[in-house]
Amino acid sequence: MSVTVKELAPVGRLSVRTERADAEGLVDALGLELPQRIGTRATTGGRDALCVGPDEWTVTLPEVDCAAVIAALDELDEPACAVDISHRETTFAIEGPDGDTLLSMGCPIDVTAIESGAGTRTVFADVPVTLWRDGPTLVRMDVWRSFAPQVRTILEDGLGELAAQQKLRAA
Amino acid sequence: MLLIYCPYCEEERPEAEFTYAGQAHIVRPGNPSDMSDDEFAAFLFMRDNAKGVHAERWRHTHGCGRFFNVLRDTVTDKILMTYKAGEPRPALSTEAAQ
Repeated sequence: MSVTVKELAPVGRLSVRTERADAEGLVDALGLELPQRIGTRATTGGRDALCVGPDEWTVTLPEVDCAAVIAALDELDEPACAVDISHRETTFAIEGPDGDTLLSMGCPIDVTAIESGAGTRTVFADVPVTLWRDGPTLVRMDVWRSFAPQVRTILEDGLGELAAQQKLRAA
Repeated sequence: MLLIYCPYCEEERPEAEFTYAGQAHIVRPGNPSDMSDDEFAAFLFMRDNAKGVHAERWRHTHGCGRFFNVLRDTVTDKILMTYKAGEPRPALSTEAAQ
């Protein structure tokens, strides 16, 4: 079976909201430039920003940097709101050529249409998730912590199904 | 499942990501104290029950999170058009209405 599911180590996550993504000082405070189009990402030195709405971004960064970034955003003239949501979610890495098949067991969108280096917010088996595609065969899925056991069970069921299919094919 | 075009994401997404939010273009009264009970009740409770084209609000809850407006035919359940919140209800061309 050519897909693996792994829960990743905790990471810092910020929910950033601002009316003006091009405001002065914002790039310095965040350490990267915010992407403008919904679904696109900007990645620089361990930080990754995904545009999830017209005025909303999810930024992942090392957990220790969260407080400093929030403090830096507080200093800006242009209001920008950052909330530390690191502990709200946990991340599953779904890796392998069959990853998209596994995801499509729960996602109503066409996950193959998400390009490498892009991402989106959607649902997986009715659970709100954020998908980040890091490569053709690697997708990260952020899930609210309280939903994680349910999502893990569904993913494991999916893995079992894929394994059974493979067994049938081999027979 | 309906496919709904989100005017903010500029993409067609499955209905599962959206939430219905009632009739569109209902203006909140500026000063409810000036209204009679009947007038306020009409604002609060009374809605169109259109057979045909209906303007309604939807929210892309599991996407960009934005409210926007949809013109939907309540007979065929076909979504004719979507537009951003705050924009006036667009006139439908005859082809779209059919």
